[in-house]
Amino acid sequence: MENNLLSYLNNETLENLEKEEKKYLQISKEVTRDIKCNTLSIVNLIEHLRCLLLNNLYTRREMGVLILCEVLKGLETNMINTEYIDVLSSYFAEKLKDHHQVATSALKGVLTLISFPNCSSKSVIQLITSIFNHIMCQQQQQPDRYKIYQIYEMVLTQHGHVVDTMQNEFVYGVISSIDGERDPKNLVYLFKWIQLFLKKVKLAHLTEEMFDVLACYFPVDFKAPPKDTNKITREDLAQGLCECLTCIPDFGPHAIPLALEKLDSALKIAKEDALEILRKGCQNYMVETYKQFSLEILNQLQKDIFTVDDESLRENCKETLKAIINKLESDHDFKQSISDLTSSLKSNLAPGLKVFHRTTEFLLAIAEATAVSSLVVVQIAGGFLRDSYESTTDSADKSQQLRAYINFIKSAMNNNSKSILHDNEEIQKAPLLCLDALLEGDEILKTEGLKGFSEIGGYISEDVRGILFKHIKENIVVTQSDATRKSALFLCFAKMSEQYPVEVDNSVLYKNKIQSCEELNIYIEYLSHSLVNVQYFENYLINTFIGYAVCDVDCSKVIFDHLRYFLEQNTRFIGVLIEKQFIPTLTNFLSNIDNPEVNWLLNIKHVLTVILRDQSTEVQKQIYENETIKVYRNELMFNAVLIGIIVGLKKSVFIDSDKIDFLLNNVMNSSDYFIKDASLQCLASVLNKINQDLLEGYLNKIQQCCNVITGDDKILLMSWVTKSLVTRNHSAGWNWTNELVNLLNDNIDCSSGFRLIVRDEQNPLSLQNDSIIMPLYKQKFFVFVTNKLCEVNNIDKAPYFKTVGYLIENAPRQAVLGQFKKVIRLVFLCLEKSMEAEVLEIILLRLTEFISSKESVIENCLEDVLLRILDLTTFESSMRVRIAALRGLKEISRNYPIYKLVPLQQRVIRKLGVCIDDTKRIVRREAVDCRSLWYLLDADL
Amino acid sequence: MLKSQREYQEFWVVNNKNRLITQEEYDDTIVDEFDQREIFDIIRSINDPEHPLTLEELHVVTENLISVDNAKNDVCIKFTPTIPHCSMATVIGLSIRVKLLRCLPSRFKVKVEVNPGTHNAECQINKQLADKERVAAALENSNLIKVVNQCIAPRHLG
Repeated sequence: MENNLLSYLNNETLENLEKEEKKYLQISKEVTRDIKCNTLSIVNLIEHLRCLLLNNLYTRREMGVLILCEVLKGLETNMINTEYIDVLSSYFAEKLKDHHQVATSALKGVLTLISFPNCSSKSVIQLITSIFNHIMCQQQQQPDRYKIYQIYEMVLTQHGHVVDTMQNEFVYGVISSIDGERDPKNLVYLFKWIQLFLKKVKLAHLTEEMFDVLACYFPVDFKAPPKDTNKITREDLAQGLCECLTCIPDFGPHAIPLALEKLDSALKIAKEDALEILRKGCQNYMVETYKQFSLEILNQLQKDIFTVDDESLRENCKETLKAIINKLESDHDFKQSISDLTSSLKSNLAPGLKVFHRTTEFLLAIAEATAVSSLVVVQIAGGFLRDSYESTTDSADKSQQLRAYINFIKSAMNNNSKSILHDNEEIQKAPLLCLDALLEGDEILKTEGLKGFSEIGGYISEDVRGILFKHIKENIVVTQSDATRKSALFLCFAKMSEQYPVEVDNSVLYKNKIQSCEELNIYIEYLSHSLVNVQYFENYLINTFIGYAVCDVDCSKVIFDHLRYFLEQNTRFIGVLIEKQFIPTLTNFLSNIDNPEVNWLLNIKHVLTVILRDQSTEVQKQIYENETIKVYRNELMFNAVLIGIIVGLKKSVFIDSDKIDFLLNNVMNSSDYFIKDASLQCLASVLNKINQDLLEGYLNKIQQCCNVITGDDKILLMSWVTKSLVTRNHSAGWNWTNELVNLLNDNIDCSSGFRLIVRDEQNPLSLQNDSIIMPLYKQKFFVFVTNKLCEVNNIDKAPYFKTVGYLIENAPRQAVLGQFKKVIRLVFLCLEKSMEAEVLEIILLRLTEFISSKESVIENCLEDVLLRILDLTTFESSMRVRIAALRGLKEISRNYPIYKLVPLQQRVIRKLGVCIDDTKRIVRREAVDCRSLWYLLDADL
Repeated sequence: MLKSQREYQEFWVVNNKNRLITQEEYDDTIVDEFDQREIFDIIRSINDPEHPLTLEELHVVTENLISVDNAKNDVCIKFTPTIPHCSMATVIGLSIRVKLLRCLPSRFKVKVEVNPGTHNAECQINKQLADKERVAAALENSNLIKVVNQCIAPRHLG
């Protein structure tokens, strides 16, 4: 019975197994299955494998070991008891002494045995000792070395007590094994578990040996081969090594001198890795170790901060300096050492010295490190700066001194509590220095003074505040010519408003009406930027907006210029405006206005839409009903208010057919551009939102109107209606689109309608306005229209070219790429025959975009595209087209395979010979770059 | 993407180290003559064959040692080798010549010479650079053209 079951284990089959054929894996699986089903025992298996395990040929023995290893790997812990493991361990320990091929195969079995939690200490020690004694790690291949490291890690994580028992023997064995490892994959793995090893074992007299084995890799200099599949980078290795070198305090005395030596190197990676060691070492090395080398470390870091020009490296040095100063804080001499260091450097802070900036950077890093160091630096270096500021006459020098001084003060503020700082002499004097700069200095110094105030806000005395607030009050209504000064004033005003709201309210804000519009404009700009985030001023801000909005025409214009953007960015104020009855107040004011300016009307319309669209259905209904029955002195104003309100309404709110007739009448009969345009947009918004039943009727009505009107009016009306239908994916939209396409044959301006449909700028149809915007509507429209255009016979006319250009300009990238095979004929026709510079430029720019991203659709017709672009490099009537064509050619040379371009190279170079003699210098410059690239296309560089 | 004059301006400033574009240069109807600065812009980025620096950075070429005569179609460039016995002076001269050969219209007669008194073998180099046949022969030498191409290639290609 058993013989039948285990036919796969007969001698003949076993002896004919070949390692490469992998049949033994199948047999191992079957054996594992049978052992799990208890139809075979491990003892039986070993008896069956006798012909292999005791064979004279090492290849057969290896096969036996491999089958055994595979079977063990497939077994679960409860299926094999400690006695069996002991016997197998003895066997595998013996096999490690066998022929190297058998020994390396046995490593797999060792790893499996050690991974069993019930593997006894005796067995683990036996196996590990056998590896130490009989396997020369450095002579093994990379995968086998990796396996050995896995065995060590397994011992560390699962059999810690064995490590404790073996102690130095284990440490020595590991050190001997890992010494000289060169494979990056193995090293990444090693660096990971060595940290655990170092933390678990006591290195004792082997510390230096272990450190040397690791330190030989420092700094890591590794560049992955181009086809490396492991994706290991230098940074991975460097980080792993740094973690190892800094994970135990015992490495400190060895690692710090090594880091200092490499920090002195000119190689950037050596410096970076050395800084990393010094910084990370702070977590584990002893303070005493750092103290022992503190002088050398600080000298070296100072030297680098003073001399290195690479900004990132210098930042790295400063971060390291901060970490080390922080580490040294617990030393009892710390304060004195920092004091001595600062005193020795303070003379560098004299005005006009080249080392001024680097000295401040160095001292600032020290100050930012700890509370004590910040106070010492403020006292010594800050004091020196304050004294020299007072004796300096040059404004630029003073400005630098003040900046450095404030930075020191800021570091002390960040590191210390208020109670400590209140008694500090320098903190008390800092506001006076800023005040001096603000009152006595030139523009640069004044700006620095304002910046200083915004940074030391909480420590300004009442007297100084009084003067500062007066200065702010005077300046927030004055034009600032200098942008830096202006932003400093914004910041200072904002900070003071946060910290002293009541005083700012009383002393800075204008309570009486500002008469000049220019001053009001500046004042509102400051208010809306500086007070917007302070809850205290919310009321004042809104009242100011409302007050001036309905005060008089000029003030109202100023307010609406700001309100338009302010409300979009700060929607929380919209609710407050509604609460304060802003809309009725405003419309009462606006109803009495004569001759409003168009810009003001546009702003009013927009602001009303923004306010309305955020309101509930009830509020919208109420406002609509109340506001649209008011009588206005001016028709334009009435239209602006009405349209502003309607565009913001939700779908269910607007059902007023009279107003649709009113809008349609505006479109048909008004002679005013504002009314006509706004009505068209409003009509589109309404058609987009109203329900299906109502829509049909209105569309018929509009269709009749379209039959009556002609020219631009007809095109605009049709375009907006089409847009409103296409965006909501209404079936009628395609009929209207067809109509528009048919109009193209007769009317060149019709193409602008297509641009209007696919463009988003100044679009009343948006999700914010509760319009129905179906996903992918632009894609559908693009595909529909381009398919239609492909069917047109006499396509080589300007309106068609323009339409293709506008569609390609605004259609989503994926839509154009997806439809490219069909569109390409139209594109080529445009490039060949269109004389419209705008269209040509649009198409060239889009093609260049595709070329830059190496799109295959271009590559498939590369020659055709290239030759057409090449022809446009000499397009006479527009240099913009010539430039766009040259840039396209440049991108082609960079992005497509050389073998496809070389056949065209001479032709391109010849043609570009004409472009380098272009009449325009800008074109010549592009041509020179482009021609150079084409010359170097196949050059061996 | 070129959309406005401002963008042209920014592009120009970034790429040409502060050559500002005048209003006339945006005007399609006005002809811009070649000038010293334009020639300098063509050759300033040539790499030195020995150092990782450009001829401009090494002060081998300067704007004031370039002359252009649009009426006579003449361009003359004087370059200053870094040291009087610079062994790469001929290669530098050849690189300037080849760059201009590729980037200037063929109507221009280009003369590339060593700035007088700045090289020991000044006459010999000038003679070599002025000899069309020798220049053509040099460009047939694959090793030499490789070096010249490396000098001319923009940094990102090299």
